[in-house]
Amino acid sequence: MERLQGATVLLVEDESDMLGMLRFEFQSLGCRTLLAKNGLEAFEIAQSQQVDAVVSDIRMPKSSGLELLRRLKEVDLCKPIVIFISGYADIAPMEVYNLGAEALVPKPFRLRALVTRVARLLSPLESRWSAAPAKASERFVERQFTNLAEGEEEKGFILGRGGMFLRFPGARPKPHSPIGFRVELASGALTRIEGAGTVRWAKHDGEARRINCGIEFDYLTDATRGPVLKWLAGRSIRPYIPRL
Amino acid sequence: MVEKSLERLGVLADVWGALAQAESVDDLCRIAVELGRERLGFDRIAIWFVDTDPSYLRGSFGIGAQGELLDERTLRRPIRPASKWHALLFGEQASEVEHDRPLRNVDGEVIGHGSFAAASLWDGRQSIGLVVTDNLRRQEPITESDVNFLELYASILGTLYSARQGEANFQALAMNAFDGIVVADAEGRHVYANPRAAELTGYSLEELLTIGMQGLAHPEETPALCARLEKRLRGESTPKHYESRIVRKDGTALAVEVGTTRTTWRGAPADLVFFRDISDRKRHEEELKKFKTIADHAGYGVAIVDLAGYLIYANESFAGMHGLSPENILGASLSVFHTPEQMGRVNKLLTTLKREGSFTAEEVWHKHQDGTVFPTLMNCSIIYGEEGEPAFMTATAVDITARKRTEQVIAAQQVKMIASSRLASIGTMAGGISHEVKNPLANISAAAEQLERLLSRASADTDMLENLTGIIMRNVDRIDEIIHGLQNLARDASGDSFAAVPLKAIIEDSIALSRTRFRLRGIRTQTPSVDDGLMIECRRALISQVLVNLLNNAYDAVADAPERWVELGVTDREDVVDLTVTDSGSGMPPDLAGRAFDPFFTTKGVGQGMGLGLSISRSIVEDHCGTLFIDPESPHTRFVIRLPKIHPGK
Repeated sequence: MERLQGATVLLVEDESDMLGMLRFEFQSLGCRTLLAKNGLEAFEIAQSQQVDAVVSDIRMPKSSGLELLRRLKEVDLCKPIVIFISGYADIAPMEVYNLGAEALVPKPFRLRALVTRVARLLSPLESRWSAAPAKASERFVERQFTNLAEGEEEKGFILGRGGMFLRFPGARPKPHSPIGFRVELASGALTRIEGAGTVRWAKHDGEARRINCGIEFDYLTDATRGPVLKWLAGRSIRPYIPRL
Repeated sequence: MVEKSLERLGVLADVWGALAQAESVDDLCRIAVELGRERLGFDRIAIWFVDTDPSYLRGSFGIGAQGELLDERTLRRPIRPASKWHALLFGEQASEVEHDRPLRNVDGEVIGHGSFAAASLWDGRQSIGLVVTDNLRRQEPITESDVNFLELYASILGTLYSARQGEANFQALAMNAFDGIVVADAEGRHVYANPRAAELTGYSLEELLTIGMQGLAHPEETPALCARLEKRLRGESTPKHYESRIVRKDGTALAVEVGTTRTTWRGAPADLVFFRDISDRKRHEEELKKFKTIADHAGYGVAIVDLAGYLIYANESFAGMHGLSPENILGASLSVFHTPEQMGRVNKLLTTLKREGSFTAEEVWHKHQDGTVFPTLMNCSIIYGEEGEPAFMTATAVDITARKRTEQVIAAQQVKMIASSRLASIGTMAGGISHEVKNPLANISAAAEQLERLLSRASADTDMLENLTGIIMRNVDRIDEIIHGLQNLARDASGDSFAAVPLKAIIEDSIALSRTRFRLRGIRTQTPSVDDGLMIECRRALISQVLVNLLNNAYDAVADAPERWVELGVTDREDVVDLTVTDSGSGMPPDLAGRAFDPFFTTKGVGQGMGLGLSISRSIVEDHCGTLFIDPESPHTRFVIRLPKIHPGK
């Protein structure tokens, strides 16, 4: 939570009740808040001021949250982070993450959960991925590929800015549930990606008993964290969690 | 003496031949006196006829004192009863002669003395006049032989006269006859034709006499003609009347009915031929045949019934639908085709029919021979006689068993279609509604969370507390409003009863479901202020559905337009209310507007609905005895729902 202290959060919402409460919440945690009623206003504010995080509705008159996301990520992929709050969108969650949004929080939500999520996303990847979960996840998936390129080609594994696309057999995990994983690559800069994360979306593949899943990284083992960060640092990857 | 007589007889034969050529009765008399004087050696000679009043004689022609021809056709002389002439005309005697008596001129004046002879003109049945002669000019004695010769001449003239009179009568008759009449001699040459014959054939009378029978013969009738001729030559009897065709001058054929009879014409055997134009009759027969063929084989039942209800005609279909054949049901009573229960309605309809003259499209149930019953659609009318009195009743009957079944299937399909269309429209709105509901829920949830936290603190921010409780209550109302509108929209309300509903409430229901969607798209909505007391008697949910449908259409119409607004309007027109939905679109082109209410008509892309919305909306409004139409006067697209405030009937 200390991450929020002094951070600048841009709140974008056409619902004035919600906008008021968001401001109250973030202000009470020591944030500087900026307010906008639609994507267009928000983009103009983000252009003129330093903004650390954008918390935005998706469906709004004049200019939608997606339009705002597109324009912000064109300028800078990592800052500000974009957290969507949405009751219903014409767009599927996997698309939202693929377009580069760092989070999609469905309405209605717990304010405290939202704030926690924002705070977490504001911390650097290094520290964010360092804390091992208190207990191991019930679900654990494991896959092997020759290398990254083959993983993509096989449509089995794609690495994103904050998570990965992984195809694996078995039952479909629930969205927002924790999941443990180990992906081994026989060759290349990355040989292993191991840790714990959260399922952000999961879909049955066309073929039976195969799941396409978007997983956000919460923790990477000490052995794998470094290579992943290094690998990411050399690339500008738009999807926070890629899709196929 | 004998030689003279023989010579005279020879001349008489010539004269006879000449007389036979006379064109008319008058002509005959004129020639008779002239040739009597010139060829037969009569002195003065005249011919008199018994007048139509038999107490008078009427003159014809005569030879005068100077041997001149006298036209005496204007003269009349009384016949004194008991006179010699009376005896000669009405008795047995054939001739009379008187010698040494005064001879008179046409005026009755005595101009000399001499002998006078008269012979009766005999037509074979009676005396019709006299041929008179005297010796005024030449004073030669009139001998017994002369008198005998006069008798002979009179008898010839009498015969010729009667023949010619008959011919004259025939001609007078033929002149005005409705039939064409020609007389053909043994060689087939026309020797007579009447004006009607000329009219029917298109030839002039002169042309008819030149062309002869061959000129009129229709080539296709030649075999029949030859057959008749051969039969006649063999002495067999041939029909006196037959139908044939002749060729007119312009080459067209004319259907005729021909009657022939053998006769003599001017002494020679001839054929008298009557022919009557039967083309109209033929045409009518053809027409009748056509209609009968149509009726016989029509796909629907046709029947004709007399006024007492007995069948005098039925076609195959009519008989067939009852499991009968047409031949077996002629004369049948109507009760053959209906059960006793059905007859009640049939009799009622018959009463109507007799009163009104016709009825159309009545559903009437019939009975099949096998005892099953089936529905028909019947049209009946009375056929009137020439005096305008009812004569017959005609009926057509269509078996609508299949149609009724189809109607049921269609009705069932329609219900399904309406349901799926409603589902489709709900589907398109489902997303909108989730958003509608989740936003207030998010607000409530957030407010409650903050409220909880504030309450746990010692120093509560009272302003914020009030604000948060306000948010909760406001948003709960919002959800309630949405759910309310949704309930009204989603269920099948076609069985609801009519109830008076404030129009304002209907508008609020519909707007609640659309407001945010419109706002998100930047579509300005304008709603009228409606008087709370403005009520309409309707099925509330259905009218809401119509309004939501129109709003959805308006949304789709302007979603991508540069100028985006939708305006709801209400106009109170005393008995009816107009509820209008106008959008910023530039109006529908007339060809689209005309089809807009057709089922499955849509201007939207694939997947945006089945195009049943307007068609169903219209049927809903019409069930309310209202109308749904596009206002042609409006520069923008404007749909008008016009509803009666009080639902009439039902």
